[in-house]
Amino acid sequence: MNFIRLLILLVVALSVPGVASAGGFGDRLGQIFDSKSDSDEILHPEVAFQFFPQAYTDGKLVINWEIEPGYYLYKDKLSFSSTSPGIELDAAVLPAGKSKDDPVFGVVEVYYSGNGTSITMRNTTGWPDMLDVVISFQGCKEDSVCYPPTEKKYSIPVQTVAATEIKSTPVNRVSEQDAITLALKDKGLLLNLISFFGFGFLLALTPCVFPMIPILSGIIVGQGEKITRRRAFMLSLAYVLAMAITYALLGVIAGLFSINLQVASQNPWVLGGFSLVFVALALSMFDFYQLQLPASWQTRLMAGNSDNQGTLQGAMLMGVLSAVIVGPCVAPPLAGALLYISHTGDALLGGMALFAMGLGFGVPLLVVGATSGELLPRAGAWMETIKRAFGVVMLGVAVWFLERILPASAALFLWALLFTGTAIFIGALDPMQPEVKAWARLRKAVGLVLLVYGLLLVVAAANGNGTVLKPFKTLPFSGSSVEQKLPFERISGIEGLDNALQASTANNKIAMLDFYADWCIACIELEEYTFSEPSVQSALASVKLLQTDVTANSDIDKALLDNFELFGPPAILFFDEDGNEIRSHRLIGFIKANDFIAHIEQVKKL
Amino acid sequence: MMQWQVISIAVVIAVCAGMGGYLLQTKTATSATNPVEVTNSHVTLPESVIGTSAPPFQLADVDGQRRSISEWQGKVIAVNFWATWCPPCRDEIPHFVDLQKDYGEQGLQFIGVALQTADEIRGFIQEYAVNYPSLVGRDDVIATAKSLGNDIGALPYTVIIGRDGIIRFTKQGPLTKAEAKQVITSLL
Repeated sequence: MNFIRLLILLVVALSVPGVASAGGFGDRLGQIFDSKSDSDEILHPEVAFQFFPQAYTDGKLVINWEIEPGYYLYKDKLSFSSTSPGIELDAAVLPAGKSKDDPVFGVVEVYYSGNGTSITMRNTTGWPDMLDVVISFQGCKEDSVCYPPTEKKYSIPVQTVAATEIKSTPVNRVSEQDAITLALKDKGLLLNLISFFGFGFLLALTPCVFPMIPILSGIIVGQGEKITRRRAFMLSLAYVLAMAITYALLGVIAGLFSINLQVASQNPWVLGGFSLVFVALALSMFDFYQLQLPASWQTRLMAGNSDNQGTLQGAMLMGVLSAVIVGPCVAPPLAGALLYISHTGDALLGGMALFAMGLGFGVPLLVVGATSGELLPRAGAWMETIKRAFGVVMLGVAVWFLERILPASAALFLWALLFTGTAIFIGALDPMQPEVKAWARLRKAVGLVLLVYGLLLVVAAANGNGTVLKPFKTLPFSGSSVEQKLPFERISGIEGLDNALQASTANNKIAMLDFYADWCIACIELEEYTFSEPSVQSALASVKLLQTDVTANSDIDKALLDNFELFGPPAILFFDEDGNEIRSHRLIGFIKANDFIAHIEQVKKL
Repeated sequence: MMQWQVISIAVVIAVCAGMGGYLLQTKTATSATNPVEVTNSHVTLPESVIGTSAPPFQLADVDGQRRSISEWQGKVIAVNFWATWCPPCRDEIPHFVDLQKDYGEQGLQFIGVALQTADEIRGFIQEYAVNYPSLVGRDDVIATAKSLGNDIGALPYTVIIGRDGIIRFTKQGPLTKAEAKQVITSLL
């Protein structure tokens, strides 16, 4: 159990910086136990509703607000103006509130929790050092009192930012990524952590978690017959904790040093390495050999007298690797948290949030771990079958990695090999005696299906397009139809984007910019499943289509990504007729064709 | 064996300490740039005016006539500050209408003071069959509310004044019918 002790130590030590940074952390701890919402005390409106305006020399006025629990603000009573001479504010487009049914006024929109908006400022005489902003608002305490319309004047410094070449626009509907960033900024610490735990748990209900279940089960099955429930749970716990800590550390490090996580974890060498590890694990599942560390390592790792340390460490190591593996899958919340960290320098909160997310993500895995000990038989021949099945799945994971770095047809061919090979091994082609049991027949049926699918994949690979789940976009022998691709104009760097946008604004067109990279699986999925749909193509007919390939991650690419505060692809940005980015309608990650069309229609309506 | 553990623990601690230092630095560096504006305005508590004599006030009624509180001198006066945009205010007004009906003859006088214009409330007082005078205004209403102990201007706010002109009861937030009835009957 020494390693567990080390783990605890690590967690405690991680919280030390927080305690060291004194005030902030203590204050936030105070907030956790703050129970103002329950009290009858009626707060001063300026305490119940707090605004945090920040002005920048690129013409952005960002106003975030916080609302005490139990209080709400009326959206239509919220307005902002400037009293500084020569400075005018564009109308603020406010985020959507919650609908509240009012017997007199009908449905009104209100805000129950912190939110924010970004307003464009126009100046005629240059930026002053200090900006005077007047915020008018009106709100109520639920079922208690309402405040009269209140005006509050703020005098804030105009902070200098390097002039960006691309003008920014007001955030009207906060995009998914921004919503998460805002949530992190405005809610209390506990609420933050709970939300991130929730995000993690929701993510675990997506296919993101699938690659992890076989890994974990593999570790547990690999323990052999004598595994107890407790031990299985400990193994999963070690795995999940290591994963969560990895997220937290990655988040903190990436935020502090602005490293592009995805590039790091999607590098061909890293992917190739992972793939090899999985092949090795799979082979051991097939009993080609017993997977063991070198004897000298083992004796070292088995320090002290505890007997099972090696595996706990193995579980933790796999947890760390798995966290990196599924990184892109958790892109939106991760990007939100990372953006927050890099914006505020509050790596502590960001790290804790990511840790909570990792734990949430690990809940189903803990369930798997806790039940495996019970579900898996103490002994029995069919355990071998399960073990082999895991072996097959692990090979699948290996191919899944390689898919990102291999040409499509080569990857398909690997899939074909996996399917046909599995089919042959389960006996799809073995002769069957008339007296065999139903179970054997079913097994053969499954085998035959796999075989046929495998063969189809061979044909698809030869045909040169398709994916493992959708081998034929076009029927292999029909010949005539050629796959339609979106007519993207390739651009690179900020300058390239500016030139392209000039062209689109001249034609009064809106523009879409797709960030693409060969190693970005969601980008490839977008191309294959979304952009290839004829309905998507017709929806985009009037849109200027731009694409930038950041595979190389060159300095020009990095500058472009930084300019939009992006951490990497996948990302799709939209620009209005004036060439301003419509930040609220950014897309991060994969989106299905129908949802994408709905999104495009929304953008067009703006 | 032990050495390996000691080394790894030392590394972990060193990394954490380094991170802690860095965090501390960044935190202190950024905290100065955020303008935090929390005004802790001095608040007069509604309870503090109880036992003092009610200051005189004049406000316009829905027909634009100036009305003075001295008109109802000698009665038990319940002044209710409200607005149509305030859901809790709207909820309690039917109770006040009932109380005015039941105790008006014994000398109770409700006065509604709306933080609004006459036009904005006219429909409402008709629909709710408000059977007591309604006064309206904006800045003068806020000033009146303040003089009666409502410093933050939150609505609803109800002040009950005895026959002797002394403030006997104040309530910020919704007033239940039972509580109002108890106070009123004790003063009549």
